[in-house]
Amino acid sequence: MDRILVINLTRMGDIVQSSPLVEGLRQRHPGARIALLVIDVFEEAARMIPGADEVLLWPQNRSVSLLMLDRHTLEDAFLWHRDFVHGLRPGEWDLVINVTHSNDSAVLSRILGGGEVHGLSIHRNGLRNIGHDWVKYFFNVTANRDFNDYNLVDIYRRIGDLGPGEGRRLRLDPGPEAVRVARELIERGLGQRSGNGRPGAGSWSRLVVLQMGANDKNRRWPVCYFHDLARGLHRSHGAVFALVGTDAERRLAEEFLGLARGLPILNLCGETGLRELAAVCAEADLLVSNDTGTMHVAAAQGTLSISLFLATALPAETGPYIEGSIVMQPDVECAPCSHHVVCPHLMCRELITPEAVRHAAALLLGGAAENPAGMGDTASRALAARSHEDWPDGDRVKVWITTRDSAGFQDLRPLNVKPLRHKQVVAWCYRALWRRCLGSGGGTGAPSFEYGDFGKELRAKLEGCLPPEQPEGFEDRFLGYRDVFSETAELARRGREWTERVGDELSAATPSTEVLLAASEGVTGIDERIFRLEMSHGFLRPIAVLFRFDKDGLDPEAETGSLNRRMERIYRELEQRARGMHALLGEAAEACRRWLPIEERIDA
Amino acid sequence: MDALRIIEERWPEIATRITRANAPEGAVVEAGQGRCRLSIGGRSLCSAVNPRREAERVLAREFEGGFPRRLALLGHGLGHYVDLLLETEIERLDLHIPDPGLFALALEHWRHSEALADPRLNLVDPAQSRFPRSGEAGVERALEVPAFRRTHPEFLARRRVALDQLRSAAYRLRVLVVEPVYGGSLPVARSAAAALRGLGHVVKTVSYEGMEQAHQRLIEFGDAHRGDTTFLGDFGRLLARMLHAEAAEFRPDLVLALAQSPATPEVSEAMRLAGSRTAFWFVEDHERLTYWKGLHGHFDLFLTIQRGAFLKQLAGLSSAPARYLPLCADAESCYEERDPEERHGLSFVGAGFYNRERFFLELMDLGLKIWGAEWNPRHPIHELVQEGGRRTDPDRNRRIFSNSRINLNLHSSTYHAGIVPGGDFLNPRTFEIPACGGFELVDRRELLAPEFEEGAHLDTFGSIEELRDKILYYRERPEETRRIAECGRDEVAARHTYRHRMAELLELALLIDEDFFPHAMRIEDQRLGEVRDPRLKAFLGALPETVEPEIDRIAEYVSGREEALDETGALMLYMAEIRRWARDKRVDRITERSARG
Repeated sequence: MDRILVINLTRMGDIVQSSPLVEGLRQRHPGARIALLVIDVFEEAARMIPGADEVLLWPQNRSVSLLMLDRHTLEDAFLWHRDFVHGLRPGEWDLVINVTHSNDSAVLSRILGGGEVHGLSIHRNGLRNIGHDWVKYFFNVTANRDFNDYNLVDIYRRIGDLGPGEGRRLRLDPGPEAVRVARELIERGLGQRSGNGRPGAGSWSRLVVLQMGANDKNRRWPVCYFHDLARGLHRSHGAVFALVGTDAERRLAEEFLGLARGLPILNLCGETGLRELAAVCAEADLLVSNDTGTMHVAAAQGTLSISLFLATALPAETGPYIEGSIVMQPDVECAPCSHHVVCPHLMCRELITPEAVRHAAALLLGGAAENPAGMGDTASRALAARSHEDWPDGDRVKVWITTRDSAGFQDLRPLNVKPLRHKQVVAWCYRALWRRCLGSGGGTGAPSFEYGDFGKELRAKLEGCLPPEQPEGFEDRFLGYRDVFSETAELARRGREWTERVGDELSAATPSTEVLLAASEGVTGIDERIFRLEMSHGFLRPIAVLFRFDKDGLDPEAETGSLNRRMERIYRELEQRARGMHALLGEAAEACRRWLPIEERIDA
Repeated sequence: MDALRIIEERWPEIATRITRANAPEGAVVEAGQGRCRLSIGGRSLCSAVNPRREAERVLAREFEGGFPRRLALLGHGLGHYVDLLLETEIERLDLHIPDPGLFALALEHWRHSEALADPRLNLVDPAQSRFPRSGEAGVERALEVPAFRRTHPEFLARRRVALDQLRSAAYRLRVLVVEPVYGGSLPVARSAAAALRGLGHVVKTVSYEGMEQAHQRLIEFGDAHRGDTTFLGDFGRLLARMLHAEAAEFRPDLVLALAQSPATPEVSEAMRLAGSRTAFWFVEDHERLTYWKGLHGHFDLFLTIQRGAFLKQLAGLSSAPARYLPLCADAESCYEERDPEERHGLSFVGAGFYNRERFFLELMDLGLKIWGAEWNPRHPIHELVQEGGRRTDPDRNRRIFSNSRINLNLHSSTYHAGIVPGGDFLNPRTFEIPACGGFELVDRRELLAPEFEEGAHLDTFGSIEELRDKILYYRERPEETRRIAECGRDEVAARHTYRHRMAELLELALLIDEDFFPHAMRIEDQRLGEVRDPRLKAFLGALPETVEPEIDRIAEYVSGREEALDETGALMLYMAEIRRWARDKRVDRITERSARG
């Protein structure tokens, strides 16, 4: 593997989240030349990622204006885009990894990829092709958010076929100059950090950075809550504050400053470039933020955060990729909002109270101000301090701490326990399934269907929950789910049998047209039934959607024999996955039964 | 006979323009070597030596393979072209007169009376009707008199650039079509929207579906309360606000409102201020419905189905352009299959107007069947009314048209006893019957001749006696009616579909002002001849003729093929995808997008 190109034509937060992928690729392919293609306005972010030898840029505004404005001809647009694409050296790349969702990136992957492509691409005839199991999974997440329990960073890492030890953390190097500037800004605005860990005259011991903006205003925790939180932390920990954000977010900072008279505050809204922002985060003891790019920037500096996931934000998907940060989400049935909903009634923004966040901050800042500053093992300390009753306004909020599971994937462990729900259990089963069965899609890394350790995993998970609100017969519902997976597996088996018959027929001297036609009809009928099951049972959708992606991705121009072999594999995978879920749900039902002894059910 | 008198008789509108027009500056007719020549500012419009010979040479060169039967000619010189062409076996000669003043001057020196009186000659005012291309609008060939290119280069160049852009799909417009709540113009609006979409434009409709009942209820409510119309007025304003909201979001290049739609002058003005152009297609009889008076000055283009006096009246009232755009038919969706279960002899489809009741009464013995609503149940004609006198939907109408041996069409009137004297415009049925392959007998209308040929595409009547005779005649001749119906259907498909009309509408707009749509997407301006890059040129040259050299069309073409994509094809697809994404987001400046869709 000599030359690798990572295409990430998304926004800043996503670019930061792809830094472990780049770094992991560097670890896995030390001698390779690795390039990163991003939209030109995010050049700075890309350059700060260690591990990339080269940053390539797509001048998006120029490209779009050539295609949209009156004064440009087809030839102008064509020549410009041809030069641009030639500059990206098509055909030279041994591996193209495209982590962008858009159709234009799919065509670009096709043009540039000489060898393997992991990610969205197109077939020779222009039809869409999703290469790699984990990319299919990535696409599936948007449609099945309820059942996704993997962090985007891990999905990116798996798209790069990285192992548990590769690309372990986010990284963004601000460089020495930005560090100097940030320190100077902080010192000038807030005074010096005290040497002994206690605030003194003109010195302070805890710096908390506040990021109050978010690209979507529905995802912003109210400014007055940020203020109440800051006042509380100043009182309890002697904390001082830096406000960060873009130029457009200055208004929020002004609103905050209007409330926060007497508090030590450094307003850096609109004052920092990305490098300085990273350096300021590196100096901080804690960041409090909505789900933003800043949250990832801080994690890339090793700085812990409390992040507030409102509206559409989903903690499992985009929580900060670092151990020991706290993630909070309103405990309300409709959270997170669907991506296609514009909610007119955002009561959820006010469910997370300043008191609840202050409690989380106290855990991360080490309790009272008198304690030494060293963060130590905050995760275990936080877990030890966990108590449902103790969490202020705990009934209105879900709180997790970020950890890693035994396989090195990011996980969320609840800090205020909540009653167990069926959906949660299914999501855990899927998490276990995917990790075992998703390979690279290129045939390497044989999937494993050993679930022996799942029971143990599950028991640990159940420890973090309260008994369900209606414990009576709770586990019985899994039996119904299992029937659906069983039926799906059976259909997949029949699909596979058809492909086997076709295979036999094709190897005969004169294949019988009758059999081939019957197979075609048989397979169509099976696919329709699978589709109907998918539509009727949301919990089946994750594997059914992947099955559809696989079917859509069949190369229509492939030779019949190889097409048939590919089909056989697709049905086999569906069968294995459905049987896998059947087995996992069986384990889950058993674990729940043991976990919920009869007496407790009666008590509850 | 005096030339002008002939013209007045045959083409009254053109006569008015000719009498008012001045000859262009510097235009003179000079005598040279015993013959006349026409020149402007020293530039000759025809040969100084022998203009007739020159015309002969040009025609011989142009029509080496034989003279066409139907020809459109732009420019006239001193009439030699017309004279020569009328000497051939030509069946129709449309003479487009670019400059009425110049034409008047030419007439003074043209032995014209024979030519002008020749029924095959038809004078056309280019301000009212565009000059077609060969094969269009029922003409085999279109010819520009060469001298005219020399003397009116700007006229031609301006027109050619705008029209070429339109024809090569250079304009990808965003069009908002405003439907009425209900009524006869609702299907017109829907067909117009579909046709614009078919022409490659991005179309959105403002639909008031489901509000008909509310509208009816408000009429009844107002009537019950001493004829109070304020409820209806308030309702209309509400509908206008809905339209305004749609337009604000969609940001159309063109708002096309249909008759009876709630596009008020206020909304039109607001949309014009916001950068949209507005057009109103008044598919009504201006004498019967007069609400056009408050409307027409507020639209960038006002389209009528009547010309003559109405257009003159509009021109006198405001400077806002008004143009003639006749109705048409939806050729694609027409019912063509004959249904053995549904055979009718003599049919009429339409509402029960006073003149129809009186007129059709005299056909009771001929087995006439009538479909439609609002027929007076106390009138003896009612016994001919089918299906309980319910309103029939367009689909039902098509079945009837297709399956009747003879379809009658009588333009309605609330005060004439039968045929409307001097009736001009054509109702939708005139086009719909032949579109469905039906044989049509229609009352003779002033504006029929330019669109259909009597006896070839349909037949006409001028009195009840004539109608009875023709019914009896055609009843005995199914072969003839079938042949005429087939020709009629071909004629509609070739000239009178909604696609034709919508293309004409846009061309009329561009003839008024080539910058009529200043914000339209115009990347497709590229003409093949101007491409410099050899590989792009080769690629575009190799595209089938049916594929326009335009990014979206090329992308559609390359992605639907069996063959593998080459680099140029892939780049086209790449650009099309970027553009589609930018259009979906309605952005021309983008700074970010999400990884998760």
